[in-house]
Amino acid sequence: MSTSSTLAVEYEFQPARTPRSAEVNANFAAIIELINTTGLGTNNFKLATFTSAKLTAGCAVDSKFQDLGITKAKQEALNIIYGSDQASYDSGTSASLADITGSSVTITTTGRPVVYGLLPINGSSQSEMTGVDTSNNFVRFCRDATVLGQAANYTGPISSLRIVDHPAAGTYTYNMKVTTTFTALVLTNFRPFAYEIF
Amino acid sequence: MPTSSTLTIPNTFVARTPAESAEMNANFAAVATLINTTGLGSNNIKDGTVTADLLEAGTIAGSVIPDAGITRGKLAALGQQSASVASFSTTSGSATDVTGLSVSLTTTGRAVFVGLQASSGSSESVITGTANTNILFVRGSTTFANFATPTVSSPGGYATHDAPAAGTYTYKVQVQSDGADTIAFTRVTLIAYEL
Repeated sequence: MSTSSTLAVEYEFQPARTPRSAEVNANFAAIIELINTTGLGTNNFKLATFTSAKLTAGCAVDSKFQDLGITKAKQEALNIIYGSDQASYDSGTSASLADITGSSVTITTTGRPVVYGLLPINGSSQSEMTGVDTSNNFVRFCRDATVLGQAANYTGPISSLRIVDHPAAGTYTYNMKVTTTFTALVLTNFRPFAYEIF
Repeated sequence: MPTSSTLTIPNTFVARTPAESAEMNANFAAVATLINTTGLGSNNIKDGTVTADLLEAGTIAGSVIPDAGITRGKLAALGQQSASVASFSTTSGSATDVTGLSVSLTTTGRAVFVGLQASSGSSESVITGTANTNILFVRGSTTFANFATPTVSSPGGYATHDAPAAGTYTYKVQVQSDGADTIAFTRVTLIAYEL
């Protein structure tokens, strides 16, 4: 809503004519009316009058915001990255660590925690993880060269493979590696994701 | 607490009495004092006056917001919706709604987390199935996730993201078997919220 307010003095004084007291009083009354009652309006300020310099640093304290006033629509879009859909991955059996093809995503963060993991692909195709839980079979979560954690490689929902990381702000590539000494890990219809917790 | 500021002029001029210059000056000085010294108060500005045009772009900069200044109380409610089932099982060979596991969620267009978790309380929550059973996540009539089920699993492992346009949607959980094997839910909760 835009408002405007106009100061209109009632009398304009002419040369060589003594102003009447009532006229002078009326003009002052007009000023008083505007200041005290009507109030200044949008038009009384130049555009962009209220610069950041007019605001004291730190003045927008919590109490200045309406409770529950910052809706999702007001928030920056979620920083979420999805990798491409993967139809299948079969590790075969190997005692050495191998990258899980299609599990990597790269995300640039601001320093907030990051959730990284796998999801089923969107749609009605069946997603599945089959493996076997032994001390020699595991899935390793990595952020670049940093090992974040290690999960049992077992048969269960794809989405049980996820982890919360706490990196400093930066750009990181997450991926998963697997060791399958005795039994292959098979992933079907999955996609990797990473997002910063808002 | 809004502040107010009132302009009061000291002299009212009287008819047929010459105005003294000092009186006139005093009146103007009162206006100047209010503007220059006292300052305008909230009553001196009409409601709704400070429009976006009057704010310099970027005025509400990070520098005017104290670190950690926006508390969670200022954020709109997450709006998460949840629904639970105490016990459900079926051998149906067609997609079958899990009784009670249905929620309605209104979104603004952001990604939606949809997942299962253990129901509150100290009793065990579990999903049992076979290689021939599946769990489906459905929005309206659209299946957007399909999980194969192991013999025994924790509800918390089943989760995904949906990405619908802004709107109000019904999310529900369905299960499907081969017509012979049983899939069973014990104390399972469906939860959905916008990320």
